[in-house]
Amino acid sequence: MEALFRVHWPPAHRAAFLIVRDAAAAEDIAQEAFLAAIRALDRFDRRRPFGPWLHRIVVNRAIDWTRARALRREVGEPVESEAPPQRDVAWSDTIVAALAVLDADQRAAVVLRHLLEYTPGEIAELLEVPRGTVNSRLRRALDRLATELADEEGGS
Amino acid sequence: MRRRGGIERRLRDELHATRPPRADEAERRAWHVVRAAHATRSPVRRPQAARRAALAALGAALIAVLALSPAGAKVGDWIGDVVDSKPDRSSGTLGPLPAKGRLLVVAGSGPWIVQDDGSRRRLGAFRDATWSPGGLFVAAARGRQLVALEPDGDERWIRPAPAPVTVPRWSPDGFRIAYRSGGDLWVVYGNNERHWLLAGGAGATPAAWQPGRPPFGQVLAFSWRKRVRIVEVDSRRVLGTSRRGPVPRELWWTANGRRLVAVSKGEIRIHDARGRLVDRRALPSRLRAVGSAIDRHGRRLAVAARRPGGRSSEVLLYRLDRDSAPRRLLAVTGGISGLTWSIDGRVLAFGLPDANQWYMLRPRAGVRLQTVQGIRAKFAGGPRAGRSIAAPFPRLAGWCYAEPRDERPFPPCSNGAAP
Repeated sequence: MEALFRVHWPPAHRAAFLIVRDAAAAEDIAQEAFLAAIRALDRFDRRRPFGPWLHRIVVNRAIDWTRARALRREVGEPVESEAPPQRDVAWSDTIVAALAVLDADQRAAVVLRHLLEYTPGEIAELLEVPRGTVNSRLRRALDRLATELADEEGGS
Repeated sequence: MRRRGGIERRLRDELHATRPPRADEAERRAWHVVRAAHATRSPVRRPQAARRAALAALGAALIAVLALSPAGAKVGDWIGDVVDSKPDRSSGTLGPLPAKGRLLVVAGSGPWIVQDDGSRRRLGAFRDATWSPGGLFVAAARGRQLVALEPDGDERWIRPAPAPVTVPRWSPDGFRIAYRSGGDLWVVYGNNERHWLLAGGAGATPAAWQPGRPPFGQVLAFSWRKRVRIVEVDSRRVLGTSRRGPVPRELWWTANGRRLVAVSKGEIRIHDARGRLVDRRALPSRLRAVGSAIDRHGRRLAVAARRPGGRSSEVLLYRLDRDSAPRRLLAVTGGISGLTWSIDGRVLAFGLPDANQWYMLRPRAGVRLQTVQGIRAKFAGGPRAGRSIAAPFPRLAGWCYAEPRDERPFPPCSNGAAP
């Protein structure tokens, strides 16, 4: 169990953090995903890899969390202030800022593709959306990121 | 296209280099929880046919409630967990708690202390109980006696009272205990050396000690003739009295002692330290508060509220430092009891008597952490165990440090919603 946890926790935690952009929520989501996976271990087909199963839970929960926060904002309910990036975050400020302009679905697609290294076909299966939708999300996300980064670099 | 390829490479490099803040601590915490959950995992049992029918009915009712609310989408993925609640008749372990510390539980069989590894100990035949501020002792009511107990159940001292004792509350400095006996409010020193009548005609609401401001551990707020009264207990000097208003179910001080929060059925009133009304928040229409608990910082107030007819309830989260509408954390069929915060303020726990469950969630992320099932059977100990079917649902009465603390200052252990 420990070996499984040590291998899969860092990418799951990192993926949740990149999608929700909130450290406490990311920890909760990754932890809850592990607990959910453990609760369902008896039903899990052990011939299949554990990673995609866990990542499906993490990414879907992270998208739900982000959407729920957006929904609360729309209906005028209080929103926990989005945590600003902390000093000990070892990532580029430019990427932080750029990811923020994407919506949760696009961030999830980017994270699955470029962090967790899934193919668009695999992402489509994980998110239960058509492959064309995944391609479109990735394309639009990259275009937006390119624009954002160009603006950043142009402005600096 | 070349530009997109460059972005892809940069993304890949930087995403892989990303580490969430305090990642090592998060991993340690998660491993502790995951390991414990794995150790206590039990094989899946298939529900029996009759139980399945009952669960289906419960599921339909839940979905109906949830579908009516925007929060439904948010809690939708929790439905499965609640609907799947297989009544657990075993008296086995509770499983590890999702936060550090010891829970105080008041059941029909008496108060119990639950350690964070899920082990539990019954303290004896008492009706009500509260933590001392650092968890060194528990003050408990037994008929016309107030009893100070050590956490292993040993009786430290006994204070006789003229009438049945209810709702004891220990001051944050540990030197005094307020308790109700009949309709009177009494105070006793924490070592039982001296006691005195503070006020007659006090309401049934648990009194609330003011934290954080001098004179430390001496200022008490209590419900009195449809008002809230604030008194310096040693001198009996009245510091302030509110105007008449709804009788509060609970009184809470913010951590700095500057605001007193009075939660009644239909509204939340916020007073200053002299009882003057400074703010009020109405509950959403048709909801009636049945319990509340404030977090250790005094910024977040969780309120359990019930709809007329009692067929459904909600848990609402109010931010006391902002003038804003409450956030709905959960909607369920049936009632809610025994709301309490973990000592670190990260976890909110409460009982779902109709599902025979405790429910623990992390409000900040809106994530359900754990449900503990078969609660009645797990706290049906003692000589009345065989007669506990109609006993009150085991109530989460407070959450305290894992190890007793006596060096000061420290935030006192949390109290749960009133009985």
